[in-house]
Amino acid sequence: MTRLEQLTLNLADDVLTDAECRELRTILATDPQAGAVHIQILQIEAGLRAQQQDLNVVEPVMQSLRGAVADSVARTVMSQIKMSPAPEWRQKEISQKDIFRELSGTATFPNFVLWMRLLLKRAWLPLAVCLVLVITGFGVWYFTPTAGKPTLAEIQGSGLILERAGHRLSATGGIHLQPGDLLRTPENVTAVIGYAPEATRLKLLPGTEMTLTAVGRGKLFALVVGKLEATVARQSPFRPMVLKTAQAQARVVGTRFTLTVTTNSTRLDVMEGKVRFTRLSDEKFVEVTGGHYAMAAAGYELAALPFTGGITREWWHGIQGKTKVSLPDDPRFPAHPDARDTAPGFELTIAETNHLGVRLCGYIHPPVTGEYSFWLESPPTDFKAVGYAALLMSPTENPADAFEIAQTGGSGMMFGGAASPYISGDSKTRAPPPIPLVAGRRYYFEARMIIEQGKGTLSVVWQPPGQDREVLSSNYLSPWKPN
Amino acid sequence: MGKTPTETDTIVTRVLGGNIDAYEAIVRAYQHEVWKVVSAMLFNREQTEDLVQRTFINAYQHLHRYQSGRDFGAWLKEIARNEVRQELRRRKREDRRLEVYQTHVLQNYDAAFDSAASDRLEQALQKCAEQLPPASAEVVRLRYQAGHNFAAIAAHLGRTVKATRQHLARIRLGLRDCIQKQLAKT
Repeated sequence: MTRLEQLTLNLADDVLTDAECRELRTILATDPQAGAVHIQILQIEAGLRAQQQDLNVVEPVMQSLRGAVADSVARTVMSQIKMSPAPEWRQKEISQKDIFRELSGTATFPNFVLWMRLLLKRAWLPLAVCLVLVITGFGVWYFTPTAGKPTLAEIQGSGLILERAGHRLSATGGIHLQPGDLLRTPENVTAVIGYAPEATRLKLLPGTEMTLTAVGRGKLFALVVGKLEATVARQSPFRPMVLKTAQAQARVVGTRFTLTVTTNSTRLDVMEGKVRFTRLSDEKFVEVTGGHYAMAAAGYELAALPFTGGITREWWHGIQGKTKVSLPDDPRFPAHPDARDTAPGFELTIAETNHLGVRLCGYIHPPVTGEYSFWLESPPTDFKAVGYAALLMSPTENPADAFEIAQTGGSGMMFGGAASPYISGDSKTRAPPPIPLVAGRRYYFEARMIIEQGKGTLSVVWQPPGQDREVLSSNYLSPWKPN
Repeated sequence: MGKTPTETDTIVTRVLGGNIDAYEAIVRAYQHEVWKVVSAMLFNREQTEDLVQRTFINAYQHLHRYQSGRDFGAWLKEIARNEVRQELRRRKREDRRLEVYQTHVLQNYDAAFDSAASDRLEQALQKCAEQLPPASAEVVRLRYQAGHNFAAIAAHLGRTVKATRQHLARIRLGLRDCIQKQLAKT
């Protein structure tokens, strides 16, 4: 078997690796005979695949069409009803309107009392009906503000899986969804469930699996895995939207949020509005408002916390003198940085510069309760580099309580001299004292670095309980905001 | 399986008259033909199913455009080819692995479609497949007619996945040689 044949058969069997794919392309591009061989083999594969029995076509097609026809029939019937003359049973209602027409022609302010008497005498029944209708209408408006049916409003990419009663249906835009329908978005596919005319939209991101549990009695979903972005119009308090996962339940009355589900955890991020988030293991719940998130997972304190992602970065030019981590000595520190922005995380690389001070500050959101270790790492960057760095941490979320837990500084191959037991040079052999942190709380954290000369690189590494050392990810950070 | 043109036209008339259930007979009669067109381009069962279903739904939505007395299967296959073209355009950026082969098939679509050549290839494949030894024929049946994956076939035959794949690779290359001989004879 030639290499070309082998690679083509791997392609046919859908086991071609990226490297093999590149190799196959090269062969096809360089060997003029290769294309014909490649096509012959794939034609045989296609011919064999055409023999497939037990096709899953008839039932899904007929189900889709029957659903579409039912909708079309309903639309047609309603439009014809609107166009046709009123039936006999409506004529009586219309004749009542004649009374008002008659009265309105004669009604002037001096005759108002007479007009009202006449009205009450001759039209008390319609008035009562109107009053009841107004009250009922208000009740309907207030308690059942939503009436849309779930529809696959948008599909991006191909391969969306829609299963109904064990059959795969053609997931085309506009199809109405029913209770029990399962949607699965493969990689590169997103799908939006709409509830027109209401503005509620659920966007299923790639890799998501969700079942519509119920439609009529509120909007109930079971999110198995993946991520969902939702914009939810105001829902009836008696028929809310409820999303269930293996760990939690989110009860929504009207808001914008995302729900991310993995095997072991469920995370809710609320952009606007309010969501009641219940942990299923103990039925404890928390109200999560806009700009906050909550997590249901083993060892995690159930709390609504501000969004994570990013950290505040400030810098000062023209720091003078070898004062080691001397930012506090500068009169411009901390209130008047030359610039401030949000950095993605606790990793910082400074290009060639002189006398630059940088501060990274924010909050750590520990994912589990336990003892954490922290290291300040400044790997070798430049023989001429001279600089200092320090790490401060607060046992609370108050910056005023922060104290130094690590320091490094000096000149030469790296910032590491011999300043503290937590410096980079010793970090692999000597563990720093662990710090107890509680999941569901946030802790103020700050790193400072001064580059007197040359280039500088700084990163904060942590080791959560029972896990490996890693650079502190932005998933566990939120920026500090100056008052 | 197949329907005569008159039978098909009668069913189409019933569907257009509002009897949606009559369309089921059309789907049953033509699903294998449409499957052939789509599966020739998409080497993925789920995507093929999706596109075949979409073809029939599309055909239903445009059934009033079908001209009575014409070849309904050909009309349906043209819709299927259009669906395939659109699908390939949609996924061109994300999946270029089958590009050379798909370009070749699309060129055949765009040129006058040589159904005679396609039929000859199909007949030769059928003849060669009939000559396979029973063990090889069983592997082909499990893989292509029953639609099992390699792990299931290997478990069924009591072999490793690797051995099963190698066996099927040899079968396919053998079929190619056999088909070339068959086509050379005609």
